Amino acid sequence: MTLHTATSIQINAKQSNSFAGSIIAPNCAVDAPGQAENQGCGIEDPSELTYGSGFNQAGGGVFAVEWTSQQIRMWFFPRGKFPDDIVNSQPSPNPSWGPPRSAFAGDFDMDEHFKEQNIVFDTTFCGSVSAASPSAIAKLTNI
Amino acid sequence: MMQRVTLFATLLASTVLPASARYSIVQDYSGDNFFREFDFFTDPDPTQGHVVYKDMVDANATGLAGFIDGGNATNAIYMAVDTKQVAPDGRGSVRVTSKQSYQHFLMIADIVHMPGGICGTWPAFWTVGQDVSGRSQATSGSANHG
Repeated sequence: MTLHTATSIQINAKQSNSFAGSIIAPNCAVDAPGQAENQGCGIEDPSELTYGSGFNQAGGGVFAVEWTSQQIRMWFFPRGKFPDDIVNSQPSPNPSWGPPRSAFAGDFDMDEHFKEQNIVFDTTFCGSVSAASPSAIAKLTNI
Repeated sequence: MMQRVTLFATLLASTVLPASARYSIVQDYSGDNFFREFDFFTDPDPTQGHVVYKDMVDANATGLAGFIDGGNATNAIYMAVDTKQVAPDGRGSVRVTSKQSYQHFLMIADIVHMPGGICGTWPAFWTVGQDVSGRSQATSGSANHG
């Protein structure tokens, strides 16, 4: 999961079991010094169940994102391993969920940086903020 | 051979009640309601990817958006990328934006299948601020995850 902000904010490092993933970059600003342009702050999930062929072979799963004034946290539950409250359509983060895959919090005002947001789904190929190499782009356009 | 790329999702969003840790539902995006409550984005890709985003009518007519059953999917929302055409100007694809905006939520997204594992493919589900003050990207991958 990645956040992008216009101005600099730093997310807290992992503390004991606060989240399962690893921080790739800690500053959410799109022009953060020492980070790639538009990189933002990111937490990478090492599990192959959350993306790509591992995800698809497992039948996918549920992503749960909780966004409050204090933090943004994301959990992933593979197909067949959903917590009871989610199965019963009354979801609420609780100990049965385990630690989130990623958690974004820090010494900043969340509500100042994240105001009204719309939800987007899309699929694209290459483009900016993607690590695709020029040779990969050439391969796609030749299909 | 290029794999068929598909994304299925059912989604509901909740908002917290004051003085309570429980959430109550404010929007259920499953079934028909998904395409009523999401607009199709048809501008050029702002990330300059190699796609042409289709409108709802065109996408449904060409099998890029609709509903699907099978396997773990029952009346699941389906959004796909064209896999048949030679596409030197960009591959037919779908991008949708929710009509409703939120500040704070608990979002539950049940996703059966996502494109991935192929160099350059970049599916994503994310949120964006209206004044682009901030943006969160819940899941996304590109060539380096494949």
